[in-house]
Amino acid sequence: MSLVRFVTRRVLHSVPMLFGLGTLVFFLSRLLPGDPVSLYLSPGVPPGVAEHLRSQFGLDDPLWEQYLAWLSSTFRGEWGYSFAHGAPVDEVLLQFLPNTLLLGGAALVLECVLAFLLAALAVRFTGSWFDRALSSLTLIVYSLPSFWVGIMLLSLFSFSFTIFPSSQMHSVGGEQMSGLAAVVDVLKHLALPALTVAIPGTAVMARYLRTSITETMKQDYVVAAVGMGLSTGRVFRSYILPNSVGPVISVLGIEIGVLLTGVLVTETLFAWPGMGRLAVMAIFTRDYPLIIGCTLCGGFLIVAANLLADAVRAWIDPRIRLP
Amino acid sequence: MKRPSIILFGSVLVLVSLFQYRLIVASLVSLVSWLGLELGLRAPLGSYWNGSLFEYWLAGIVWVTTVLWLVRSFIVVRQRRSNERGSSQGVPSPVARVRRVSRRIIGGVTFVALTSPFLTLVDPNVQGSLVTTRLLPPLSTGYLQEFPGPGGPAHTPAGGLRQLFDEANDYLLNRTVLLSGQASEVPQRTSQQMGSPIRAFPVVFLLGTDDNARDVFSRIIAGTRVSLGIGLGAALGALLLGAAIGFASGMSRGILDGVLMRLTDLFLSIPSLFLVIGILAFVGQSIVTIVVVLSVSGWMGIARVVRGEVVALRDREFVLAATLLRVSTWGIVTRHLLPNLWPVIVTATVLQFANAVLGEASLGFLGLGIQPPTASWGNMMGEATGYLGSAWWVGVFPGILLAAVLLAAHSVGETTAVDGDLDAPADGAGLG
Repeated sequence: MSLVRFVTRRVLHSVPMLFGLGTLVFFLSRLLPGDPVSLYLSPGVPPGVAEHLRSQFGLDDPLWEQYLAWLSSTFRGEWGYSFAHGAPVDEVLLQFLPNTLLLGGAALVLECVLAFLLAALAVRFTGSWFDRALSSLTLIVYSLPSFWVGIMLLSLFSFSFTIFPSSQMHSVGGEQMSGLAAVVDVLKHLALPALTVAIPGTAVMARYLRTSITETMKQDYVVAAVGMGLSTGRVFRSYILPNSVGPVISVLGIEIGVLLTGVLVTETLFAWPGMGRLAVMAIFTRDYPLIIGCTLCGGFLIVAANLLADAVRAWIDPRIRLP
Repeated sequence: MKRPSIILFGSVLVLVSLFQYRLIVASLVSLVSWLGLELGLRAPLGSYWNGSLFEYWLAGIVWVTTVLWLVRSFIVVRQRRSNERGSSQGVPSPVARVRRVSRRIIGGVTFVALTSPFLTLVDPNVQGSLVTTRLLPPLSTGYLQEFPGPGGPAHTPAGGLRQLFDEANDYLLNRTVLLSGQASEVPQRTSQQMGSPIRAFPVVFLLGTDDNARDVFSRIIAGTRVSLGIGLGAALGALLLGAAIGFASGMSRGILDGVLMRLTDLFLSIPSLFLVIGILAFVGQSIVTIVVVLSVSGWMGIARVVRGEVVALRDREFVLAATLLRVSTWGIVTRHLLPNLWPVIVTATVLQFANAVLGEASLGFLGLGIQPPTASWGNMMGEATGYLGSAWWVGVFPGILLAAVLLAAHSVGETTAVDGDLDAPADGAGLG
């Protein structure tokens, strides 16, 4: 099966998932106690007005009619109107989503690079103190809550030693900066949050990668390659590495979910203007359409991330494309 | 336990007992006199019950039990020592060491959660003098004064048990404690209001004080109960839900199985923190709603593991034999499947406990969990972010304890999996 067909099939598989997610969110928001109309009206408003509003919003219709109306408007991209931001929900989300993707992407890259370096070092010096420390520290580091890591990094690098800024995405007056200066400014602000999100996952990834590499090194084809007289670097690059990243990538698909929730909390800590902070602020301001929008968008991100991980795995290892 | 750890733990207990002897004695007196009053049957059963006394009674019972147990194990270890003298003990393997440390962490934290009224220096919500006690660094000294309840013992002495009960409760519930950073400040401020103190002495704020001049150590101890209680409740809730769905899915073949497993996939696809805060936004934050919401968002791992095991077991010969003997489905589940599933279920629940504790802490950190002034590890860390530059200790210490508990739960979960010769369930249901 070609790669395109495999990906198409996986995309089609995830459509019911998104549909179910929307259904779940809708029924949760309708079944839970709390009438949207009575939440926004002051108690002094005459009952007639509330009735009128209720029928105007379609809240008197049978549940299934409301559901169909909600579904159709959601799929047309009309996600309601955010009260706190005074703008349609999809516009607000589109404004904040890139920042979250930037933070999550940076954290992911950082995680992979760090994990690869650690694993390569551990394999190079198998059995050394570094190798043993890595395997015993993994569990400890993985147990650290990401926001606590953030607190430590903040108090160390931005309060004790003022190397990195503590919050926001741009410096004051950052809008006037041009070209390279603006990029450097954003990178400086990105460093601590990305590190915070990346650290717990790095430990896990490094351990998986190390196990996977040592497993691959025992294979016959590696022994054969060494026997042919290929250089160590060549064997590692062409024989060991491609065959050992496969299992790690599927772990990565799961890790992305963990990473995303880490991003949510970290954004609040660093005042990073992304989706996580948006969702938390939406709850504090009781901005229900925005809350539903954020939940849907988060679910979409996770489904997309798993899809991406599968696609990359299928690209690297053609055996997976078999039905 | 080994002898040094018994001596260490015992001396801590003795020290705290000496320091808090009034509180411990009052709790025990209150419990005993309550039992006497209720058993005397002068009034309808339960008429002396007071919910806010329960934590003191529980703490008293646990305290006395622990002391007795320590004495016993001290004697036992001594005997074993004299028996085994000369026999060499091997060096424990790293795995065994980690497991032992993890068990101690969990045991210690449970003990702290149960006896927290005795271990806190003051009521964790008491504010000290804002002038002299705010944001003191760890190990700084302060001054503590304890006053009788407002107006002293107002009730008429009834004599006998009733008087003992009332006096003990008066001490437990109505006393006031004042904190300050300097000895000179408190007496002038309070002597007109409350008469002379029962006792006054210098104290050490072990872990410093927070922005509201509250003792961080006391708040961490009090938060232990909240955090662990919510974690335990949510893990048990997830266990009930997950086991029910897992069994239903595993025992039925066909449509129901498919529907339930797609539902599980669906819940797994939502970032659980989003789901949790989404629901909490609608139902409001209280201990009950947080426990329920964390259970609802955390059952998937358990359900998957249970279903997998049930599917693997249901076609085995002993199940077939039971079916042929016309044992009901319920009987097969409870008598033939459940005993085989215990190791898996326990492992998954322990891991889910870690997830729930972390989830509660994340919620508290975001300000969506347990609301202040009640302390939980999460909301302490959340409050700490406001003045991280000036006071690192407020946020760092709860985090260390949280990480220790998570680590212990993870490694106990993993070692249970190894013991039962099973694979640890790997799922992405974690929060944070």
